[in-house]
Amino acid sequence: MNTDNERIEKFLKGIVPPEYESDEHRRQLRGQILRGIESGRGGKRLGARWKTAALALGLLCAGAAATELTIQTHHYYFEGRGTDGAYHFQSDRSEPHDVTYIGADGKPHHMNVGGGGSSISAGRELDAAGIERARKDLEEEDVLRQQQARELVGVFEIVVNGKPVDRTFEYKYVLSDGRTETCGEGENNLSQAQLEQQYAEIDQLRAEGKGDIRKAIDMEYQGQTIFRTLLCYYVLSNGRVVSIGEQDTNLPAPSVMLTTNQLSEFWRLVRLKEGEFAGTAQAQVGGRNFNFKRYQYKLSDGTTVTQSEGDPEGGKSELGADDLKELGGLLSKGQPVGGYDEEVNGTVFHFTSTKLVLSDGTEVLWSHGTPQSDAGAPATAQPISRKGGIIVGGGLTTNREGK
Amino acid sequence: MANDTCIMSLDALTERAEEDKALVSAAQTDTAAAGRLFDKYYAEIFRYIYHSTLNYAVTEDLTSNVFFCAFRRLRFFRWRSIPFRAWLYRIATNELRMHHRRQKRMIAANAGLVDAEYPEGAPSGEMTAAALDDCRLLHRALLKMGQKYRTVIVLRYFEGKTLTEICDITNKREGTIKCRLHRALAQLKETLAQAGLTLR
Repeated sequence: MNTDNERIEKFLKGIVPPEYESDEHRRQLRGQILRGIESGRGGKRLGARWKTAALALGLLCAGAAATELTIQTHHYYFEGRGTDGAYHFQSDRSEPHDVTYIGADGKPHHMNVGGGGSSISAGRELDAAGIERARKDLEEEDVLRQQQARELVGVFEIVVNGKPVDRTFEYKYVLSDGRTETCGEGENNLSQAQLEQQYAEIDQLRAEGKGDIRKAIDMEYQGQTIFRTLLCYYVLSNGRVVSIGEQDTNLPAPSVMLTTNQLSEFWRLVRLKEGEFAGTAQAQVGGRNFNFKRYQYKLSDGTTVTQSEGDPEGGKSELGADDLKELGGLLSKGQPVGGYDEEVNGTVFHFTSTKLVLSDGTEVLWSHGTPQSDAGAPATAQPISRKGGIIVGGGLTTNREGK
Repeated sequence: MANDTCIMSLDALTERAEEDKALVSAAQTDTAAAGRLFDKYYAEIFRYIYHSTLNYAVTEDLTSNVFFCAFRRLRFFRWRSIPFRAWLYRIATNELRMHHRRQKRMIAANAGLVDAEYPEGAPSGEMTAAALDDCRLLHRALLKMGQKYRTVIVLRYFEGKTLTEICDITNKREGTIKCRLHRALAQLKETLAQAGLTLR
């Protein structure tokens, strides 16, 4: 080794690198890993149920995408255009966020939440360049979201047939080329600790039977219901209303099952709304009658899978994509019913409310809040479909009218 | 560097490898053994990642990724060419490589260089202001180097790994590692000189 390199070697050997230890991180990580191993060894049935729950949560928990520790660049790809005209994008955010909370039984529970998908309702047809730009915008917005470089410009509060549904937050993003985009998102700025606390409270409420099943989604294959996801609403102690997708544990174990590839293709078809209406049906869910609308999906290997979406008898309490579309057209004709002020994330928002009745008789109280300095903005802001009536992970939908 | 092999005797290496073999084998079926395996390597991997990033949050994040990945694949681990320790380091090195790649994209986007979180005071009362400055300077110089050069420097001088261990971790021959070390030192010397540090 030459003299110069000997000098630098000597310098390096003299360096004492700073040290850092985190006992809390070690403890948490150890617990998560060992619980993961335990649940993996818990038998096929438990494993399958855990995976199903994670899948359902990933798909349905709009408000549960957690704040990430570091900024990560996620790749988005164009999945296709739905039969309703929306452009669908998926991200490579395949690893869901881990949440560990103490359940009502006093034991730690492990759960994965979040996912990665977005649908864009463009005001006009997008050509290949437009789709590529939309894709890149989504990637940029993803980074800005992680950096919290966005502005909360509005909050939507909706009450359907007297029952509140979870809020939708309207965020404004300023892109690097100066364009601005507004996205409707669920509550996705909760810290890990807040999420864990929320899940612990939900578990307690569930144990006390305080969940309200507002929607049931069945997946049928070869005449058997293989999955039933229940959209349950809970009112937390702070007054907030949150929804969560849960597996119906009362459902008997099916004797048939789709493969992972078939499931993946099925969900893609559902997102793109490529099902054919196959009539209605009634079934009992949680001791109540539910009216189901059935849609059939044909997979590329010829397999037919039916998905049924059911609302409780006596009026729905959750809006679907079609309802939101109808609502958009009705807003200017709605009956103003006053306003109120409410603090959201430390800022006072002024809400103006409009009462509307959908064609199926559903009564909707539609309130749109803007930061108090902007008070006076009309309540006729167009509805931003957070779930868009389709099941999208992460619950992000971007409205890009006329761009 | 000639006395490289003297750092750890062959006997000690063999003993350590045998101990690991038994622990890994037990951890594949026993959760308590998996806990012991985690305890044995957590601090070492955490330290390696911290020395490579000097960022608390990133270190915690990447360490989690390493152990999640390792324990998810533990049942597939077969004791063939490399020891378990080197396998863990390999995963960690890969995580670091991906992290630095993401960092590059972020810098290109608009976030700017994420600066290292150097401790405010002197850790353990041992680090003087001058030593801290040297560390900061060195870390910035390392960030300017290619990943393969940075890896060998950190493993060799911060983690005190032998050439054989670095070969196992990087899956490269000894000659390649020696060459990389030589080039890395030359690059580092030049970068430090540009930053105004004169080596005596």
